[in-house]
Amino acid sequence: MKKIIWFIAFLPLIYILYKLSWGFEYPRYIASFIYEHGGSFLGKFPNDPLKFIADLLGITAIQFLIASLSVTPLKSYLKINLIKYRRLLGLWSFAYAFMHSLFFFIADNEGNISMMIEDAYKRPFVFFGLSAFLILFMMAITSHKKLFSKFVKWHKLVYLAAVFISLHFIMSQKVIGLNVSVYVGILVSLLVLRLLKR
Amino acid sequence: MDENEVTDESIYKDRRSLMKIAAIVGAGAMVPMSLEAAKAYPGKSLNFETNKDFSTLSATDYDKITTYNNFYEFSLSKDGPAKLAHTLEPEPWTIEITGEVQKPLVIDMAKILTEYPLEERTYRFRCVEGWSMVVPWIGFELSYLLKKAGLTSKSKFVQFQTKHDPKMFPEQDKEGFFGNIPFPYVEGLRIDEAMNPLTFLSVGLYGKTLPKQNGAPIRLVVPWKYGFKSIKSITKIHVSSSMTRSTWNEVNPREYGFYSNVNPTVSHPRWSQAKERPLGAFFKQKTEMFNGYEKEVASLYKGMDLKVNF
Repeated sequence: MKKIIWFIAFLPLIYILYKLSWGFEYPRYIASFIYEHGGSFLGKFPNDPLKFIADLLGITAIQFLIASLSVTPLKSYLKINLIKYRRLLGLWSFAYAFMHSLFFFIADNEGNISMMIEDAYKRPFVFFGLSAFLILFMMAITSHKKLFSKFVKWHKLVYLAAVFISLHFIMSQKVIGLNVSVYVGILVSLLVLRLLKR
Repeated sequence: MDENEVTDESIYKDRRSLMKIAAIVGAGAMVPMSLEAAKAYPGKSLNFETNKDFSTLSATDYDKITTYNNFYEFSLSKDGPAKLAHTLEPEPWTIEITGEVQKPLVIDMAKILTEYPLEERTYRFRCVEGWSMVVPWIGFELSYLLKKAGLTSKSKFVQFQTKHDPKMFPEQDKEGFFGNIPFPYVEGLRIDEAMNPLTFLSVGLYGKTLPKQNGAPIRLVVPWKYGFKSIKSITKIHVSSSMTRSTWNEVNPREYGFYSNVNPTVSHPRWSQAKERPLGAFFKQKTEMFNGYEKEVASLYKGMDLKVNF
C-alpha cells in the first residue's frame, strides 16, 4: 500500500517532466516516443508552462490533503482503517504545497522575500495560501512520533488549513467552475463530517 | 525552445508569397499550392495585403493560438473551446449596425470577405490573466465599417455583441450554472478608441478564415487593451450617446474596468500586471505600456488618471 502511495505521489512530477521534455532537443525524442505509442492524451509542451506547473502542484496538494482528511471518516463511518497511511498522505500534501509555494516564490516573486510578504499583504488569496502552507509546515515538522504526541492538538489546525485552501482556490479563479466547486465541496463535507463527530 | 515559440518565419513567408501569387492569378483554389502549406492551416484562404507597419513581430505558432482560448460560450477551460466550438456555424452570418448612425446597416459576411480591403497585421495580444501571444490577424479597420454607417454628433460609444444562439454556443443556456458569466457577451469602446486606426475587425489569422475557437467569423481586435475587450463572433454593433455596458465590468467592476488598457503600472487586484507569460515560453517578459502601442494611442487618454480609469 505504501508503495502504491509513493507511486501515485510521483505521477504528477513525472507528468511535468514529460510535458517539459517537449521543450528540449533530446528529451523531446523520449516524449514523442511516448506520445506516438498511446500517450497522445498527455499532450505536448504546455501552452502556458508556468501556470501549468503551478496549477498541477497546487491541485495535487489538495488531492493529498483530501486523502489524508478522509482517513478518519473512513474509519468511523465505513470501518476502513487506513490510519497508518495518514501521515504519509499528509506529508505528500505538504510536499506538493511546498513545491507549489516555492514555484510561486521563484516564478512570481522572483525569489524576493519582501515581494512575497507584500504580495501576501496586498492579496487575500496569497495570504490564505501562505497561511495554509505554514500550518502544513508546522504539521510536517511535528509529525515525527516523538513530537506528534506533544503537538497532536495543534494538528487540528489542519481543518483551518482546509478552509484557507478553499478560500485560496476560490479567490484565485475568475469564475467558480465545476472543478473548483467539486474540490471545495469535498473539503467542506470533510469539515462538516468532522464537526458532526464531536 | 525556439521551435515551440514561433513558427519558422521562412516557412510562413514562403506560404504568404504563395498566397500572393494565388491572389494575382485570381483563382486561389486552382493554383497548385504546395501541399504542405495547403494542409498546414484549416479554413478558407483569404485575399489580403500585408501591412508593412505591422509585420515585424514573429507570430506565436498556430497550434498555441488555436488551442489556448478564453471563449466562455463553450467552456471555462483554455483547451475546451478548440474541442467544443464545432457547433458554431459561421455561415451564413450578418452584422447589424444600429443606433446613433446616419444609416443603420446589415452587412453580409460574404460581402466582407470578398469586397472589403483585407490586410494582415501582426499584433501583440495580452490577456488580463497574465499570458500573451502574437497573432497575424487578417481583417480591416473598424473605422471603415463605422464610416459606411456614418457617424453623427451623438455617436459617443460603440457596443459590440456576440451572437446569442445556444444551439451554436451551448454555455449560453447555462448562465449562472457553476458561475458562468451572463450572456450574450457585450463589450464597448469610446468612439475615438473605435475610430483609432489600430482598432481592427478580424476575419482570419495565419492567412485563413478565423478558426471557430478564435471567434469566427468576425471578431474585434484592440491590441492595446486586455484580450477580453476583443469580443468574438460579433453579430451586432450598436452606436450610442452614453457609455455602454461591458460584460466583465458588470461581473466584477473592481477587477475589470471599462477601459482595461494594458498597463504594467496598474496591478490587477489579484496579481501584478508588470510582466507577462508569452505562450510556450518558460520565462516571463516585461509588459509594455499600452501593450507596446503607446505611440499610437497614448493621446486618447491625455489628462485621464489611468489608475482610476483602469
